[in-house]
Amino acid sequence: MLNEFFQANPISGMLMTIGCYWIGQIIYDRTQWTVLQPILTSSTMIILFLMYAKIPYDVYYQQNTVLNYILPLTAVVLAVPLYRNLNVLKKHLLPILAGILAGTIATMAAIVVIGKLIGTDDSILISMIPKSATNPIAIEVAGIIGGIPSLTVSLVVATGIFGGVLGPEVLKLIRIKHEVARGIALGSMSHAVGTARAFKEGEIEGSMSSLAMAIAGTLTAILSPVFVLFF
Amino acid sequence: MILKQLFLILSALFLGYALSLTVHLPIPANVIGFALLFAAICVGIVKLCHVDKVSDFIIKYLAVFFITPTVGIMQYFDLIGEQFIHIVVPLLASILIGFFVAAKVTELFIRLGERNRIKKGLGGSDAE
Repeated sequence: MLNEFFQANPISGMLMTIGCYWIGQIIYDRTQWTVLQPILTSSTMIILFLMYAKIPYDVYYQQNTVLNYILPLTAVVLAVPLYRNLNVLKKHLLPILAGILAGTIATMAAIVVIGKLIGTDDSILISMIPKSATNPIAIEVAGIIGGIPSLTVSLVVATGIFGGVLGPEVLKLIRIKHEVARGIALGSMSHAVGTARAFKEGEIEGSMSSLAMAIAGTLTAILSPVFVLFF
Repeated sequence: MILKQLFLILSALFLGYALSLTVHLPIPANVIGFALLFAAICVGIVKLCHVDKVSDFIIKYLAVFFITPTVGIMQYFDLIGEQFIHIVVPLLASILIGFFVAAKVTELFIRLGERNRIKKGLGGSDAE
């Protein structure tokens, strides 16, 4: 019954997406807990509902066509925060570019080497390569390099949350005190979630993280096809 | 105003696709569009106030667009269940290694820069 009702009404899918995100945002605002990212809580609610009501994913996907269609636009607008932080970029140009480039290469190399060593499925590893990029870029990269876009998007969300929670602890452990270095690591390794965390530490960390996210995403797009050559 | 902003942002994405279709680079069209819009703002063809409102709105609600693909993970639950440890280990290890390298290299280059400045007699402190 629930299944037929959901499928017959063309608005149900998008209504659920927006509604669950709204609930997720309220939960996050109340708790301020990094693990409770609205995208994680809302997606979990939707998956549980679809499985309970036995609604196929394709039906839900088609009912969200409007959102899916303008999704590529979300990468283009990253130019605005990058331009706003141009001053801080110019001030530490070499350390920023070197740090982001080294971090991006290191994290992608680690995926390929460790994954191959323990025998992870190739389709999963390829989907994991762009995981540190922001989702607007990662999802398109996944399509180009032959990964599974849905898996990549979920791995990007997981990376953001792990990085946002563990990142500051790692930085404390290895005694990184410089605001620039902290911001660069957070933004280049865990995109928007890391950036939100960086802004809690301070203005410089936040701006650094914000521009690192855009630059790391671009580098990931350029370098990912190179790492796929190892498969 | 919003229409003009939307038009400019869509134009950047349009040119991104146009370039990607003609040059056949293995770089996503929307990343090319992002680079084009950034270059246009830097050069001054497009002013920040011509694109900021729509951009800020989209960035604020970025996650909404990625709920549908994230929900798509339900199609791969079997694969993930089989490979769970094989996913978590490289994922966590690569995040930790990435954090370590990014932070250490940035800090190293900042120190090198400060040392050069001291040599030139310009003072080592990085005053804000």
